Amino acid sequence: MNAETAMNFGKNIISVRDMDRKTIEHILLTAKKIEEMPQNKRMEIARGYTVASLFFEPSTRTMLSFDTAAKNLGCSVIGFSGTESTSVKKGETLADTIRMASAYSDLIVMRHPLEGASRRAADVSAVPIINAGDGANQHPTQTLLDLYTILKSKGTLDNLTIALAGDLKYGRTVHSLAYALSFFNNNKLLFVAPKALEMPNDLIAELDGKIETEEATITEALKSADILYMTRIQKERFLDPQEYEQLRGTYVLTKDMLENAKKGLKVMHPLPRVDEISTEVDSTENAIYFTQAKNGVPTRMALIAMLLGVLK
Amino acid sequence: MNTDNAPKDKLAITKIMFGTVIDHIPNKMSFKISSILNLQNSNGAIAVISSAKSKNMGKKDILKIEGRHLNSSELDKIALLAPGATINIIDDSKVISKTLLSTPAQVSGILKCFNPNCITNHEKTTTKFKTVSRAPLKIRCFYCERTFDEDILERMIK
Repeated sequence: MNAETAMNFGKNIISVRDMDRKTIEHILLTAKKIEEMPQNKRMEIARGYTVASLFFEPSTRTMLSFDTAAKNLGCSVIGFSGTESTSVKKGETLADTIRMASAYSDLIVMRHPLEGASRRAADVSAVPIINAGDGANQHPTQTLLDLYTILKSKGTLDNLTIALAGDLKYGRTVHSLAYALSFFNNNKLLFVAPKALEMPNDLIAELDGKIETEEATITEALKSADILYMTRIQKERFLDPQEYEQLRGTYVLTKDMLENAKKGLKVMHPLPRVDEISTEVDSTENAIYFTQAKNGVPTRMALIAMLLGVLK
Repeated sequence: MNTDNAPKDKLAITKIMFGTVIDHIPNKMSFKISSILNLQNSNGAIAVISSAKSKNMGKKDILKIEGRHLNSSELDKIALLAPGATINIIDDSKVISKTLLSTPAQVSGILKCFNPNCITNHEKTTTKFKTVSRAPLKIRCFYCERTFDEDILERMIK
């Protein structure tokens, strides 16, 4: 890797906590450049490089997105999804698996069920690590693709009101996004969540003084937000199934509700969606969740190319 | 112990020749520190003075440990539990150095992460924690990024 790249954002992408405004802007600008390139030119960016895709727990969506990103850059991809047929099953340590994979590849993309696994991998790896999710902790490339989606639809990452709705307690996606948005200027976060799934106090304390936050109902959020970021409320989070049944209806976005929304409101969702956004919303101008998923590819291409040192 | 000259209503504890005196420990915290330092297995004399009157602290604890000085990981552990304590190193009955402890910015290898899903609890890794807030004390695991409060800290000390 050339010195300039290393200086700008380090060797690995592990956590949003390692980033800052400048780093994020640099990554998103690179994603835009890549997206605007003709495909034959993109294929030359990292031709001959090998990306190891180590999914210690399966995640079809994320794995396909990284796979596509690597192949679109001209890289070859090796790896596994699930540990059934690997030496991990025989008791190999994470450190040894990473040492082995880093001997065969130029970059490692990894997802692991344990928190901190990517940081640990970075301790022993000879090649850059991209964290594709470590337990309930971080999923930084999801945050970057979310920011890229907001930037593309709003033209800025400053002066925005972003409503985060659904499971704000356990949803790592919304935690990282809230944190990342605090690097930018004059944004406001609206938290829309049932009492049992409110934003954790630790995170609120961490955001204090960096970004304005406020609790809101979905109706209030629709009136003032530029972005409504929906997440899935998972049944298994509730001790009382009745409580879940009562709540699920309150957090369903329908086409009717959008009639009173602020002009230009965009609806995002990390997917998979279950029933929190009614399918009739899909065809509205507000819905950008499928574009959001698609934006994962150029964002991940930018990260791979930058960490390989083939793009500054 | 020579207590002949000590007033009857005062507790007398002799000076130590060689060892460590930890002063300005928050009230009742000396018992936890004794246990962390494994003082129950110490060969030298140990004096635990608890709830002593203190001008600045109201009540404070003092620990006198004969025959040993503390290493850096022991000092880090005490600093986490009792920032503001002073460490007096005694040699030849004289205080040869006096150090005021403050919460370390980062500690390595002395705490076990309290998150069962943290990689450090599944694979041999030297743990690292960063102090994110001093009052109230909050520390964050370098690996799983979970934040822990003061009340759980004692149970995390290895």
